[in-house]
Amino acid sequence: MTNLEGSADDRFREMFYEEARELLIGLEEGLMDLERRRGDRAHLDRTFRAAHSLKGAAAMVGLSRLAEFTHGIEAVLDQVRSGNLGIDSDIITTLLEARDHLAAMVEAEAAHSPIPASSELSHRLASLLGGPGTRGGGSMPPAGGTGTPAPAPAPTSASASNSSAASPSGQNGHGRGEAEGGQAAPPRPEPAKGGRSAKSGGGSKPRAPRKKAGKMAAAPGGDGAGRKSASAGSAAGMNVYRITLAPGPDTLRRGINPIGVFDELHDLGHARIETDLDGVPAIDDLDPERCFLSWTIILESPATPDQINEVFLFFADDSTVAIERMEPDGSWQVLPRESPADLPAAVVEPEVRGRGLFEGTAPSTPSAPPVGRPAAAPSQVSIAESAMAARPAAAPPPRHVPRPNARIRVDASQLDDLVGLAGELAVLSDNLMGLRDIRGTETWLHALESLQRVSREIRDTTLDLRMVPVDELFSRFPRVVRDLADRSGKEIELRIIGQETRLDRTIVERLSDPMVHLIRNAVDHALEHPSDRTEKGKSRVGRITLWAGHEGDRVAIRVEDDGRGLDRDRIVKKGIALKMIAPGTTADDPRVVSLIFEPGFSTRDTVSELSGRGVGLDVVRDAVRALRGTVTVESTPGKGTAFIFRLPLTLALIDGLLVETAGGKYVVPLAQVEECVALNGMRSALADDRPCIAVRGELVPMVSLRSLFRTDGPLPARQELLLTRHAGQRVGVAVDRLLGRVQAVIQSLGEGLHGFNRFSGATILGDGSVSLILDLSALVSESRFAEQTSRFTQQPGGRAENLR
Amino acid sequence: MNKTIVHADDSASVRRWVAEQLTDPKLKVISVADGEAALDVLKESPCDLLLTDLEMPNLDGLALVAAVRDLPMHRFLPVLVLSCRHPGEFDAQHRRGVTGWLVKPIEPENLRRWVKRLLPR
Repeated sequence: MTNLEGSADDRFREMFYEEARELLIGLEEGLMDLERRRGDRAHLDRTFRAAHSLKGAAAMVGLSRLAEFTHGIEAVLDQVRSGNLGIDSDIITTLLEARDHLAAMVEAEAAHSPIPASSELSHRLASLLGGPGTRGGGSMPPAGGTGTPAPAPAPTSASASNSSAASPSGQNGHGRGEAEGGQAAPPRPEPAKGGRSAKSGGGSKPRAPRKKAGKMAAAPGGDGAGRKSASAGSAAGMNVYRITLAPGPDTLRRGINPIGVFDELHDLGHARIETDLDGVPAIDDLDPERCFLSWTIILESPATPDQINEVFLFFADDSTVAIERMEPDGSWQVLPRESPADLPAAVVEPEVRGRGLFEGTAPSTPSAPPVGRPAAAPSQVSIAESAMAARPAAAPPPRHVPRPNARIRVDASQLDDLVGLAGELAVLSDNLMGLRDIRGTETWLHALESLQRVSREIRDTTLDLRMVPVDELFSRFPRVVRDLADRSGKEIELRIIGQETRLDRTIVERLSDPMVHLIRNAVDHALEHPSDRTEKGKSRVGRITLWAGHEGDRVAIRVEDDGRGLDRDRIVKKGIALKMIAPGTTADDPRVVSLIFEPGFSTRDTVSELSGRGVGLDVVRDAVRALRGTVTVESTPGKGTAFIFRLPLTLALIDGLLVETAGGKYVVPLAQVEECVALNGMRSALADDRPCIAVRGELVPMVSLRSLFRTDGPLPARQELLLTRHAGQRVGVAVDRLLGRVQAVIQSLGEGLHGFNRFSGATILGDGSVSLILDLSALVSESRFAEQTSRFTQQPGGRAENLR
Repeated sequence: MNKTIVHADDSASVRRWVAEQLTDPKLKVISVADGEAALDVLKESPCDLLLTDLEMPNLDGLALVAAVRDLPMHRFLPVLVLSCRHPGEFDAQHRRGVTGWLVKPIEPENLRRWVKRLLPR
């Protein structure tokens, strides 16, 4: 039974994990804002719903422990929602910790190594509700019930599956809870079913007995064992039932069709139906939407009373259903019918699923998360194994149901492949345009142009698929800031602007660490303690602003704080001490600020717990550079600091310059090239033993691709110099020839070429040949590394030596 | 005769689960993510059974049921509530119009049997 069910569940579980992750993000965001958005009912509802949906979905895919733990969170939120619980920082912290634990549980489940629910957190959640004293039972089964293996059902009744599965509403906690004096004891597993449950039945039964037991408890004087044997005894023969049905006034408006009942009774056996017209009023008083008829049905059927009862499952409170069975002596015995007085509809409550038993350990929560709702549902301890076995074996494939704005998930690597293929297609169709020049192809011209247009559209659309709103990244930070603020004792407000800006998925993913780093820095170093801030006439609360937006064809992301700003004097001092800049450099030299991005540079002597970890801003710079982006910093002393990332919209496509050197063709990202100048006629000079060249009076260090690639061959008469900016410094890269502009779809290099930083990828050119994409900044770093033996060991004031 | 079932639940995995349980050539299941979407579908198209969650954005389940009962073509539509919540938690006035109530987690067999029973023949 579990195998079949298990494989089906696996599919739902995969889907559940995805969904759970999203809900967990929503839950976190919701919790983060709960304090600030006090009184925002819609926000509270959304937050609650995240927990509620998660619980529901977890329960549906059979992850009862997750559902149970989530219930603790939901219950707290429910109390907040109903106004019984005020929001404070402690509650939020507990809820956030519980959320984190829940996230860990989900991931552990997804990794097939489940972890138990934290009983400590469950306790804390429970205590938020006012402690165990106020327990009123929850809509989720208490821990003891779910976790304890219930005994296997003895197949005593042919209708075991029916009766346990379709138990009608007799289990309503409301009515029963009252009838039994509101006993709140957790359910105990039944030692056996059938007659034994009847022994302990009646009013003394703890709440949440098995359904079967519940029915018997409700049976006036009915002895379960007796009934059981009676039905067993008559199983071979026929029962004769007399059923009186008088639908209540609301029956039709509740969607119940009495005709369906007759159909079902006919299926069960031979039925004679007499219609009673007495209740039908005169035509003037006739409400056409109300059923005034009533019926008396004599049914001869092998069906058990349970089965008969079930036919009338949906009739409740306002309807009259009386079922009698003919006894051997010809008398009619009234059969009990469980319809709760206050319920409009039939109810089926959850069973503890058979497979729950195979999940192993019982939840470690000794006390179930209580909820404040009084008289909620009791839990059921019962197994519907036979119901599962009855599951149809082969189902046709699921049909596709169109939804508006439907989303589908795709494998990221497949998407990357698609981007590559779409790029290739665009290039190929560009190539085909060459056919235009061949005579006799005029008739194909239109098709060729369409092909080109369509393939470009395919490429652009595919590229667009990779774009995600930067919000996916930013939404993490409120939590980060909150935690950091908690630990540092500072008061911090986080503002987020432009989170809808879209960026390449890979960029968004890889920006996370650099941004966390900057935010940590801001909290740790830049923002002052509240008392210091008030002294300086600033607001107590420090502010960090995350901003995203477009700047030309690039996306800019700012991480800004209103803290103390960079201490330039200190940076200069340190820079000189580390021999990174020449002695005598003034604090307003533009290069000073870029020093903070150098490896090993830190103005703090002790590494703080918050931002330290021995990683400097050079890691941030490298990460951004790897994304073909730049990072700059703007700072005003006493006012604050802003780090600005400038990033390409997508990593898959670059505007490039096609260059040639010693017969090889290379693509250089246009974004890295500031200017191209012809090299002939320029005098090259050596400064600090390195080739430099004067461009409009400025001495610019030069790297020759020929020498870097160690290629020989005759120098062309005229070379070109690509001017790029590296760490604030202009550097020239000499190439043989400029061939023109290309738009290149970047294909990643194979495993073997990853070591070569100078190539950031490859692309297919219009003629079908493959070309490597040069990373100018890596190239320049590489050449510096190769050539440099020492730095700043000589005279101050030189410019060319500051080549990085 | 083919039957149409509208199912509203804000959880994608629950929608998928229900759709799979009800996979049948004679059944068409339209899954929607909230009450408003369900109401939109019901305004436009015939439907033989409505399955709905309770806690949903835009329009919750019981409000949906009330709104559906106001649609002339669906005055007598059978409605099954699928929820973690128990009917006892809601007052009777609010639950009016609900035909049946399945408390999550739901046994696949239960769902299929109830659906079968509520669908007109």
